[in-house]
Amino acid sequence: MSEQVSTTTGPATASDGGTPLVRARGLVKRFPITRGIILKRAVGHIHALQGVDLDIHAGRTLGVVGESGCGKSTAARVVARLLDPTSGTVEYEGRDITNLSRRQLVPIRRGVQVVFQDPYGSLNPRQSVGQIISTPLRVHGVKGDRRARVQELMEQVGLNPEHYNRYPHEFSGGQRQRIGIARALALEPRLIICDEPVSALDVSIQAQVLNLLADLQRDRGLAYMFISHDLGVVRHVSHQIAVMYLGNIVERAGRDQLYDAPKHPYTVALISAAPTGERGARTRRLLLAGDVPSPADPPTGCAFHPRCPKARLVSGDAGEVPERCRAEKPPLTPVDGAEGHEVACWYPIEAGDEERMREIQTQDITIDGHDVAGGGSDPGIDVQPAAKDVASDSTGL
Amino acid sequence: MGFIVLLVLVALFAGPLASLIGHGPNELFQNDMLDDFGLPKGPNGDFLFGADASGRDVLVRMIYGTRVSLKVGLFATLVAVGIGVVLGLLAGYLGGIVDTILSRIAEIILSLPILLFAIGIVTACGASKEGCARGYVKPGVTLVVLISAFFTWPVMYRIVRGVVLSLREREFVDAARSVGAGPFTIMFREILPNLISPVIVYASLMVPQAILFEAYLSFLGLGVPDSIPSWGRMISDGSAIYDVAWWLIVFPGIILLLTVLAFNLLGDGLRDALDPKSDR
Ligand SMILES: Nc1ncnc2c1ncn2[C@@H]1O[C@H](COP(=O)(O)OP(=O)(O)O)[C@@H](O)[C@H]1O
Ligand code: SF4
Ligand SMILES: [Mg+2]
Repeated sequence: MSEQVSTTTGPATASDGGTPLVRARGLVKRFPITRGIILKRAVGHIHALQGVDLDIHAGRTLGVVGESGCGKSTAARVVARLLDPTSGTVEYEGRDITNLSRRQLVPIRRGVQVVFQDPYGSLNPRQSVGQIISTPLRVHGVKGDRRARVQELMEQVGLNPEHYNRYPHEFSGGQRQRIGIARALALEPRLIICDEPVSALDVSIQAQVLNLLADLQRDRGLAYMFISHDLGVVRHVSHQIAVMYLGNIVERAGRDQLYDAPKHPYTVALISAAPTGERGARTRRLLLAGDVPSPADPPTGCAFHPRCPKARLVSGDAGEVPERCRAEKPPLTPVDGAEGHEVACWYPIEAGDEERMREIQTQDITIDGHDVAGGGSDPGIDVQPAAKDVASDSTGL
Repeated sequence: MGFIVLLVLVALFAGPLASLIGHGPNELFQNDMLDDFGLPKGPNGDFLFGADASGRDVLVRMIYGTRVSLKVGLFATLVAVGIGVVLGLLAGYLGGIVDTILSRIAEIILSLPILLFAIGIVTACGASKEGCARGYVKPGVTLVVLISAFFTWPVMYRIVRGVVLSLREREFVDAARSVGAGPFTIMFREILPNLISPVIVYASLMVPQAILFEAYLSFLGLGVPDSIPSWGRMISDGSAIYDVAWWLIVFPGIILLLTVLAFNLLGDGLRDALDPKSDR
């Protein structure tokens, strides 16, 4: 890749003082699974969020990373108040906004905007770029020359202001994402929630859009909640990172702390699967056993236990998992001696664990009825969707 | 398409066309066009499509009939589309109780025997001179339009509701919500423009239905008054003596058939042209 992504400003420390811009506590979201057309009855629930806490600080980027289906978008939509949580609270600038009505939320929305993943679906195909970007101005009754303001915004995100009257289909994916960013900027928000803003784009275009976001943050002191399934991308844009697995945050830390000293077995597996640009070489992957369980029927205790290599290491038996992992859900707890680093694991990673976890994978084993492939010598095999996913989708930024 | 343009032109310039031919629509040519037994004479150089039982020029009456047909087709469709689109948007986007109630009403109307009800209503309104609804509604074009629209808006409603149900899941609706737009802004500014193609397609298919409906009613003597020429009415009148005067039903029948066919083809063509999923 010819273009370097400028890294975010400021030191990547774990803690930031003061009240966070957004503070979410205990977010739970269950989607009912319904049967029947006339009499809808719930036959179960999808546990999309299972008690998520988030702090987003002014001017900083919180990266949220995890496999597809782990609840990242649901978390984003709950924080953006596009979805009501089943339980839990969302505070904005210290004010509880969980139960505000649509009308009461209108002033809040000035401060919190969203950039969506799909550069095709998120722009109305029947509206011109000018109409799309001026929608927030119109909804909020912003006075003044809207056309001039929209053209100014277009220029700021690197679009030709003369293309004001064009329609979305006349633009490329990267340009469309810039249109989405211009729309999000129109109200001069303090926070932009970016739900996989570059995942649908070509690698070369990804860098340009990420650079734009970084420039905007530097110039305007924007905060981002930046969601991606791609650790490489998250690493470059985030100050703090939260790792999600099956509706839970399993680890949270400052960016460098998370990469240099991951404490959760899942994080270790994710990092080992991502190409490491700086070191120039790819470390051997830690492969995960089996598939991600269905969020309709999440595992008991620690949600990661059916796939966890550390649990097998602890039990000393490749087919066994400690009782505690199976029975009790580990809470997010501070890591000793590392400020702002939290992990939800009964047996956090210690020095040497990674190597030993790899060794234990050399036998074919089964945990909880999941077929578990051992070895890791054959990365092409499809039984490690997690590791494969992250690796093949990484950009190597 | 060309045929529809031609029809519109004929309807607009019915007056000049008639004076070009030199016969009025209700002008009686009993001396020239009725024989000794009082039966009408067939097509000749002066009366291209012959005369009817009263000695009126069939061609000129057909030209004026174009007006009635297009008027009914156009306005009945406009009213039905207006109601169907607005209610379909409300039901599809708001869902819940609004959807349940509107969908039940639509279902009931669609299950009613339309002709039977139409006959009942027209007969009731025609029974007294003042008409019904305090004299606002009298038998005629307006009543035919209202009845036709009343029975056909549920078709448009169902189509719009279905499309809205899928559109409201699109991300651009979330994008509008995330900037604070309310349900009415979203329905009418974000979703409505995306309904244009399906609405146009199905509206063009509703036009011939309304035209046929007017013809049925007029055929039964319940449509427009005799003084206003209408294709259905002409066929009805002609059917009494069709064995001696074939031209009375053949020419209006052909024009009715062609018109209905033309609009159906237009609808199909528009569907193919506007539907991105159809392969072209
Ligand atoms: N509106 C919805 N109705 C039902 N299930 C949903 C809905 N939205 C998301 N889900 C489910 O919730 C889980 C989390 O989804 P999502 O938040 O989109 O994950 P991610 O963005 O991390 O890929 C998935 O299993 C998904 O199928
Ligand atoms: S709690 Fe147990 S199963 Fe869960 S991540 Fe830690 S070691 Fe693995
Ligand atoms: Mg998502």
